Amino acid sequence: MSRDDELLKELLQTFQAEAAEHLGNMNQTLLKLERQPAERTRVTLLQDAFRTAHSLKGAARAVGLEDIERIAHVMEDVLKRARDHKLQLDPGACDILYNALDFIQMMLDGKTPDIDPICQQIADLAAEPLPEPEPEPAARPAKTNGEIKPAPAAKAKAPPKPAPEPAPVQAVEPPAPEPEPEPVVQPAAVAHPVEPVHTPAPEQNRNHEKPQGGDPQHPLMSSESDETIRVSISKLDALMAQAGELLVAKIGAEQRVADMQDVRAQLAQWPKAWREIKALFPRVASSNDAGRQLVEMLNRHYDYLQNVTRQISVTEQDINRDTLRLGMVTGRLQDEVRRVRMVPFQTFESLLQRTLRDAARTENKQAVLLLEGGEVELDKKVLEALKDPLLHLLRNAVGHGLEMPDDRVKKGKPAEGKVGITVSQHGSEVWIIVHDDGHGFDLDGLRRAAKAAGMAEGDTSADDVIAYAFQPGITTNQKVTAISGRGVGLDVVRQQLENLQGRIVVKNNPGHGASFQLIVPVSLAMTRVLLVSTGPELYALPLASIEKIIGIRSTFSVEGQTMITVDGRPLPLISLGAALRRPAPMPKNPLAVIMGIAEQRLALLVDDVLTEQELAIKPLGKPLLRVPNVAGAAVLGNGEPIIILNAADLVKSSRSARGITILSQAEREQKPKYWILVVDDSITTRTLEKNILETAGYEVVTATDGREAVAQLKKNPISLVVSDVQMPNLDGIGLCTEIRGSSEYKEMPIILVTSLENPEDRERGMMAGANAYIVKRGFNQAELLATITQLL
Amino acid sequence: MSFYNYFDEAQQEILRERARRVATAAQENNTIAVREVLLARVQNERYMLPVEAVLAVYEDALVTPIPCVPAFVAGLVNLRGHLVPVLDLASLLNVTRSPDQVASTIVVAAAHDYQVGLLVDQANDVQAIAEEQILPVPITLELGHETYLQGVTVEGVALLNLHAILSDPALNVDQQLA
Repeated sequence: MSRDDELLKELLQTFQAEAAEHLGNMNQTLLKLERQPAERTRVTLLQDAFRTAHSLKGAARAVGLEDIERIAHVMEDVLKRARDHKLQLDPGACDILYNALDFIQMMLDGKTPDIDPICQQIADLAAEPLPEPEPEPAARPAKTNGEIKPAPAAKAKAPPKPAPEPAPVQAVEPPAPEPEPEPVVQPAAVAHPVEPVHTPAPEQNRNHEKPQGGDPQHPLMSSESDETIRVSISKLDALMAQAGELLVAKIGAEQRVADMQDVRAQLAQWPKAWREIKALFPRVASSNDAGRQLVEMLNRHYDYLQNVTRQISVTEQDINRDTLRLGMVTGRLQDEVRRVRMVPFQTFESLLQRTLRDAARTENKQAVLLLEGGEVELDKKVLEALKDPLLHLLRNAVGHGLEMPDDRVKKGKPAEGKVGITVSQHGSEVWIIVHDDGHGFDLDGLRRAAKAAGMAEGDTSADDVIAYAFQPGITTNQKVTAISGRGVGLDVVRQQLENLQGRIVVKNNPGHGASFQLIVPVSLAMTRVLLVSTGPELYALPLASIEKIIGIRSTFSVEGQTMITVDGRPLPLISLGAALRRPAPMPKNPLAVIMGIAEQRLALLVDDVLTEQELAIKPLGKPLLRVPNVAGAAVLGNGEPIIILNAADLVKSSRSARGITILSQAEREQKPKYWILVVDDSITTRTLEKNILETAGYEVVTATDGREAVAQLKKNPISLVVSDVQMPNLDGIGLCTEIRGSSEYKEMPIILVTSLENPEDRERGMMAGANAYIVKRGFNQAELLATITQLL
Repeated sequence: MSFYNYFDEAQQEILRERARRVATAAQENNTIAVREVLLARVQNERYMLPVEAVLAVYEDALVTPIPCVPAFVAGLVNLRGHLVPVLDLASLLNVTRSPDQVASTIVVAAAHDYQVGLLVDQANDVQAIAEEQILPVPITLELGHETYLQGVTVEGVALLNLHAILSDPALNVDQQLA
């Protein structure tokens, strides 16, 4: 590259940084202006905005970026007019200005959109005549719909170029530069195609191009500070990696100190042995010449060993001192490096404000964002990963949570909805609570949607219903709007949280709002883990997913699944050894580690809980791309590798009540396939029984009541029926009678499973023709399976 | 780092001498092509591994098992601060493992873009084998993995095609829970 080219490249990079700052400032200022501040503030803000546009224009000209210069120029005009009271900056005008900023961002990202339409729009804005004392609302809406009409007042203009209309509503999309497109659906990416039909051609370019230039920061996310330098994330990553390695080295050094102490302890045994030998000296020395020589040698030997012992003592002290110092320095270095990558949460604030504003505008609702705890710092990578979930939750709050302004007023709430984000730090976790004062979860709507999707039947508690909202494909929106309704969102949010080894807790306050609590680790690089043992093996569990550790006092069994009570609620208890399919004898005093992911909780049985540690987690490495239950590996202080477990997977295994999944193809194909029909109106029981049977190698078909069961019988080659007694439509007894009454099925083995214990019911069951009657209270897997084997 | 660095001076001298001898023989005959192989033992079977694919050999290694992996994954090992996945060569070659024969030697091989360890019972001899001594694999060998073998000597010692083994997509473990 020639000197000039190099210079230009450098200049462009500098410009990128500067432009990003200007854009950030502009966005901020516009947001503040929209809040209709007092007159004096308004003028100051407008002056700021004008100056920023002016600087941007100059800088763009200096590096020859004419398009940016052009937009900045027309913006300058508009802002000047606004400042001089010749122009009202209403939401419609702001939309256009925001749009302009987005265009500039696109160009900073290396794209070359056609800017004629937007320039024209802005120019029209600037060329508007003085507003009448009552500004004509008619003029504005025309603009906001994207049509470029000449102003109603006299001034004639050349008809605008017939360009595709970049509808201001486009501003809904936060113009974040998309990172390499992921195959996984992102809520942001998916919501966009649903945007109003008018898509300006340039928008199509944005999807799969890498942003150009140094640091692909969104302008709204630049940190506000005076003395700063921009450092590429990759350099910081390298630094963090080294600091992490240093930590491992320090841990190793500490181990050496321990080793040294061992050596010294061993040497300490020696004086005692020596005394015994010394006792023999006189006898040996006096006996003969050889004896005397021997004693001499032995004395020398004694001196020599004394020296060695002393040296070891000194060395041990030295090592100890050095290691302590190393420990202090490493600790401080770690902290500093981590802090370098930490950014305060409020770096996001503009982006969040903007998103909320745009969402509210689209839905014709009023909302304001209140951010608390913005100064809490998080690792930049964690923050980046939180961006999508947060934006989604914000849009949800507006789309699903907040009511229309009129409805709100009728309920006695202020027309403007409040969406709050509260950030706080708790040890190595950060809590980000997104809450709104809308009407809370639409439980009925969710129930209906879940039913429609075939997921829910029968009894569903409020918690269950809310859990449905986290399933893919569920939405309470009758139609798909611009910002919600595709049923894609909350499950992706949870997945993204899980990827961060975090979790999400939902609270619903019907009529008054809902809150989503996101819990994430402060920093990703070093993860705090809990070391646990199962059998002879050690594993690490990420601390962020652990709620508490308790001793196990008593367990009970519910329909074959061992459970314990925690905080008054029953949780499934799974042995870690079993979940990992490792041989582990039953421990004497086991402990239960209570883990939580999203709203799912699990009690994990372990032999012992050893200690908390901070580890630098690394992926297992090829060819091990993804192993179930494993999140990664790290090296312990003593050099041994340790496996860090994936909390989400463990919770998943427990939910399916199996703990052991993945039957190999061969295993599955060996068994002769019997089909069993499971009938029960409770989804929990059905799922439980289904899993027990499937693990045992049977094919399972389910039905929710006797009616459905009969239908299923006709459709599938059923060999045996396991049915509840209490069911709507056609109960277990009735089903029995029907089966026995039919000609083709009368030989069908039927097992009735029920919570009814009295002998009369048992008799009724037998009279109806059931082959076996199992009572749920004493129910366990073995009994059911044994009975089935007997009957088949 | 050269393969030879993993042997001490005396051993290196032996290896070099051998190489020299074979090279001399080659010069004399003008026609013998030779390749250097690492002799390894997996249970009771002997194999040859091409030296150019081998990065290092570690003995008495402690392998940490990984849960929920297929049988051919032996676990993880810490080699000079790096965590390297270890595959059980016996499992890859369908050699039955008897419980009393414990393997603890790791041969570190280079796959295209990563390093992986292969667990064997023994691997401590490097030899130069004349190409003509390596015969094509007889069809009757029912290993099911013919592509893993590049050839066999008269005594039945097979030459492994490490490249083929390590680039077999069946080695990739990419499983999720339902």
